[in-house]
Amino acid sequence: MKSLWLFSAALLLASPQMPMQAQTQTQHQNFRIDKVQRSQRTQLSDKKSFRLSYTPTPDPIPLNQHFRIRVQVQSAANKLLDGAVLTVDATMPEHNHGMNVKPKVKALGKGVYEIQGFLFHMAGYWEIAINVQHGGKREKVIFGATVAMKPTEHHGNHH
Amino acid sequence: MSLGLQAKALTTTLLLGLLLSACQPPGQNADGSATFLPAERELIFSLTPLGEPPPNPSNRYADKADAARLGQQLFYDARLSGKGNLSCASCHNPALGWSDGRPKAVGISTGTRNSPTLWNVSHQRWLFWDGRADSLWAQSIQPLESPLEMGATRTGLYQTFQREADLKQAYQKVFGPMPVSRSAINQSTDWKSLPEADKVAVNRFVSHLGKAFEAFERKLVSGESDFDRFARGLRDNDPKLQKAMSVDAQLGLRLFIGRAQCVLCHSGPNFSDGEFHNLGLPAIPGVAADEGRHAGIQAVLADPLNSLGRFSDADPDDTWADKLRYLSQHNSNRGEFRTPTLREVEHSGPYMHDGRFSNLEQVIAFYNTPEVHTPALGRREDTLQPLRLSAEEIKQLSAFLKSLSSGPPAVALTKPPA
Ligand code: HEC
Ligand code: HEC
Repeated sequence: MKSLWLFSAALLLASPQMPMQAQTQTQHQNFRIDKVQRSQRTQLSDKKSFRLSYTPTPDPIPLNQHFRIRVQVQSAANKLLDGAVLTVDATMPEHNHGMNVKPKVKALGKGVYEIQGFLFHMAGYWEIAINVQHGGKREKVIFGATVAMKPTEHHGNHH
Repeated sequence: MSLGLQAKALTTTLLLGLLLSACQPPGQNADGSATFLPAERELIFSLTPLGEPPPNPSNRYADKADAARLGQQLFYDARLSGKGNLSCASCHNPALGWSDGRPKAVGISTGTRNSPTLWNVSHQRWLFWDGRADSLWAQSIQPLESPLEMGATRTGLYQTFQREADLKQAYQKVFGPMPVSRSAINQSTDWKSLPEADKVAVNRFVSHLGKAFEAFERKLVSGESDFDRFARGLRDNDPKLQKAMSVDAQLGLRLFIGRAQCVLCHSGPNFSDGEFHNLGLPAIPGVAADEGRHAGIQAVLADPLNSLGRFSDADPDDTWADKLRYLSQHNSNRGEFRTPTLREVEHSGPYMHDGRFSNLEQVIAFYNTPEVHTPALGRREDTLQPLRLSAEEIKQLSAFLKSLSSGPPAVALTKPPA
């Protein structure tokens, strides 16, 4: 958390802000998402029973194109877990909107699950929330990811 | 802290934090024109050049010249309307930015929505303001059959093509023999009474008409705009090309990608993310609220001509149809509309799904103070925040939007093919 604050503050100082805008931005500083922590691709679930790691394809997550992720589900003691039920959603917490699609989950075995059908249509910070149900437990993991606008390549369309 | 407040707090600060902070006050050259920082240049280059329309594997005729020619012929042919007096061009007039200059479309009677431009429409992922069609070919049957628009029926069209030798011949040149219906079909055939096989034959026929319309519409792409030229000048370090945009327009561009945050939704080279947002436009007294995307999702999933249906030419597992495969309806879709392109926008007013704004300055004035309006339906996305633009800055943004024009369409496209 602290690092994020420092980062924003550094930006404000480093850039030649006009006084008025600097002020509005300062007023806007009272939010709390630990993006740095959440952007780690391995996370423990909220009650610490599961450890999830993910990789997107393509990597990094592209703006406004379908992508899929592979998630490895382990117990906290690093045992690969098959037979887990995953439910998934993704939102932009800063904009109060989410995806317009509903991803589908497929178990690939050896604790790996593929989730297809993601589409992040806006640049910025997204959160993928995965609910894991296994062995009578139901816990939540949140992965954060920041999607960037990229210069066009050759043809310049975004599909 | 509530999500809404968090969102408010966060939007301006971090999302484009780097850019925003990079933008003010603008680095300026002696003549007042902008010097753009690396982060700004990245964003500018994400908007240009427009490029070719993306492939559409669900239409195997999409890039065939003879299909485009047929589509062009049909686009201007009033025999396709119920009363023989309206064509697509009645509302998508090439001289009016492929639109009609009216707040709401007028066909057989007045509709509830604004006629959108067809400029660059092949770059869109979803069609209509509510995205109730997922391809241009599936889209085109709807105006033909709308009782407010052209007032034809698909069985009536089938008979028209059987009857009019030139139409039938033109069709057969591209698609081969017309699909055969075993039931007799005429202008008053009741669709519901047709056996399934004949419905399929007629649907195959109208999907072919649609595929020809799409082939034509794929030609309606903008040329290089002043903005594209400017950006090319920026990329190649060519000061002369950079003069393509006035100083005002350059400062408007800086606002567009920076403090005004327009680029969050009007993203990519077509200036549209192709998706849906609730801007929280206020209700208009006496006008029923428009569900927008919420109803559109239901409609596209139920459409027999959608990209997962039997009339699509794509392989069943083609990822092109993923947009439909993973589509789901949420409550938050109420009151959402698709982000329109901003290319050529100067020529396609009035603006918004209901044509409520007659000029660009009015649109920008709305974005400047969204918080003073109560949304007609649902909840305004927190992406929109008060912008505190001065009158001068509104003028600059508007100058930028006007730099997205590339001149009139090629004359050859503005009338039936020779
Ligand atoms: C009476 C006026 C009228 C006529 C005639 C008409 N349209 Fe339209 N068109 C509209 C309106 C209004 C919309 C938007 C409707 C909506 O979103 O619900 C539209 C939407 C479209 C779109 C979607 C554009 C986008 O950005 O999503 C396309 C493509 C289109 N029309 C093509 C055609 C074709 C092809 C024909 C002839 C077969 C045609 N139109 C005839 C008024 C008309
Ligand atoms: C949250 C996403 C979003 C942001 C941010 C946004 N727009 Fe839009 N824009 C839209 C949508 C969605 C519509 C269509 C709304 C409707 O019809 O109800 C639209 C419509 C428009 C139109 C009308 C175009 C037409 O053909 O009718 C213009 C012009 C426009 N926006 C310019 C801007 C400018 C300038 C900014 C920045 C100040 C901006 N937009 C910011 C999503 C956005």
